[in-house]
Amino acid sequence: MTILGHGDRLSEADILAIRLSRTIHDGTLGIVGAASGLHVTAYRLAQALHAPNFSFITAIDGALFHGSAIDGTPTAGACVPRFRRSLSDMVDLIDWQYGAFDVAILGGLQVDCYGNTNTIAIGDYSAPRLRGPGPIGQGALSALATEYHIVMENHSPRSFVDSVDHVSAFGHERHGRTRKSLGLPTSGPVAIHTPLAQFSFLGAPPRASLTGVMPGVTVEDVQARTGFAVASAEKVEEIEPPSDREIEALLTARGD
Amino acid sequence: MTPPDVARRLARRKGAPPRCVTFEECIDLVDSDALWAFGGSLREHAPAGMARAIIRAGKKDLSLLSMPSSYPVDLLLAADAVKHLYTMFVSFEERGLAPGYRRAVETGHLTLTEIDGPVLFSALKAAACDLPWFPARVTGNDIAALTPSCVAEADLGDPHVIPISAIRPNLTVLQGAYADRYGNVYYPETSSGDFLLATASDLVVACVEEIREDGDLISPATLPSFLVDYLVVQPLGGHPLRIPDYYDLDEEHMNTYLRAVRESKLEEYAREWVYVSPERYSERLNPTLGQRVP
Repeated sequence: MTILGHGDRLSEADILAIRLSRTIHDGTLGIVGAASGLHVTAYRLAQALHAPNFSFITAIDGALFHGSAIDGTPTAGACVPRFRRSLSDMVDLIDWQYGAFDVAILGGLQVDCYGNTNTIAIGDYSAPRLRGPGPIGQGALSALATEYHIVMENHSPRSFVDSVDHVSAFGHERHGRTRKSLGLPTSGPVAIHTPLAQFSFLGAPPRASLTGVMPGVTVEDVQARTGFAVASAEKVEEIEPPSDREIEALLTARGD
Repeated sequence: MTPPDVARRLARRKGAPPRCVTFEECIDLVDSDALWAFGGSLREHAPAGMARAIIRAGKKDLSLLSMPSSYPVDLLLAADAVKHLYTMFVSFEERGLAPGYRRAVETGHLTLTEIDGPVLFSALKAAACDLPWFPARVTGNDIAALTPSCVAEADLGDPHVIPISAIRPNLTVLQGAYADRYGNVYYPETSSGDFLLATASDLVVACVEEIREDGDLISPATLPSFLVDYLVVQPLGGHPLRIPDYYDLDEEHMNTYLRAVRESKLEEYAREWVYVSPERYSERLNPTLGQRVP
């Protein structure tokens, strides 16, 4: 599906990657996990556009992507060259150490208004309607990374639910438990990004609040596709569509 | 977990190189109720050749612990070769959910021990250190509730840290790239959690593409020979996943497999790709595939 009059050049995933790239801070270290093509694109775009000193690792194959070399030469924005993926046995950093990574990106089969995500199963655990891939490192990254973003490519009442069936990554609140009561010193999820909208976590405990909609999308459209009651921030802004510079960088990164 | 078999460990060959065996011979190395483990990752260094051999041997009751996996574990599940699985992730990532895994769980054929990264690696660290448990952080997710057996009985004095019971696989199968003449095993790029898995297990089989006479002169070894009990030397043993310097992930083959399982045509796929010798398997592929990049 294509939107926003970019012809067939940009997909929904491309636009999500561009939007995500804007959230990445220069001088930080990120991580991506499995099924992360969109996430890698977002990180590479951030390196190319505004965060040359952002680096990230891919946990699955142990690659480290630098934004720039020590002489300042940019490395992002072009097709990733072949290089050795040399990071082995990073489990201490991924599964035990607080703040080893500044930012992570997670997804899920389901998400609720407190940012709990589910990659385990839909329905009863012992007889699920749909068996998901599993929790992998979601619990660790949600607990240990300084902050993380949630990306949901499927924005529907089935994926945005009142309460997730099972928790693979703890967001901000669940059955009275909070990040504080769990002893988690990290920020947790800062936003949910979908093809339609962006929710930020506001209030105490932080709850998903609609802060942005894509051009042409209304609050009512978002509610119709969301299974929990949508709380809107004081001001819901229109999300800036991709700029020519962002589109050019994306097409370069894809090798188009 | 059973206590470590110290007598067996003492008797384990030390200076002598690991013994070369075939895939088929590996299957009889342990009792039928043994816990197997598969190393590797979603895209590379996964013991696919061993998975095919297990199916050819007609095994139906495997207990298997797996690192995050795609093709090998899904193939075993699609062929009903596994009765119990310890896993944190089975997926084909952007290619979609794992069809064999889904069917095995959703039909109730498979029993599952749901684990995640902190639980699996704590359990393996405990086993590698001969400790009953290893501490993991509370992350707030549902894993401890779904798998209460993973939590040991011990008061750590900190409600935010939990003791995870050791898990010691009886036989671990790893897929390296090559071995040298002493039996040291090499991974040209990342080895993910394979070193930890090797140190946590009773027995280790390393499958490799070839023995390189000059292997010890090229780069540092990933797995020292004293951690490897048996070697299987079989070209394309990791296909259709990637072995760095030998072959890339075979996108077309992965799609062929997925189509077969999703369209209930596994038997057709298995006739062509599983119930054939490893040599015949290689012949069916592009003859240049698997030749090491100089």
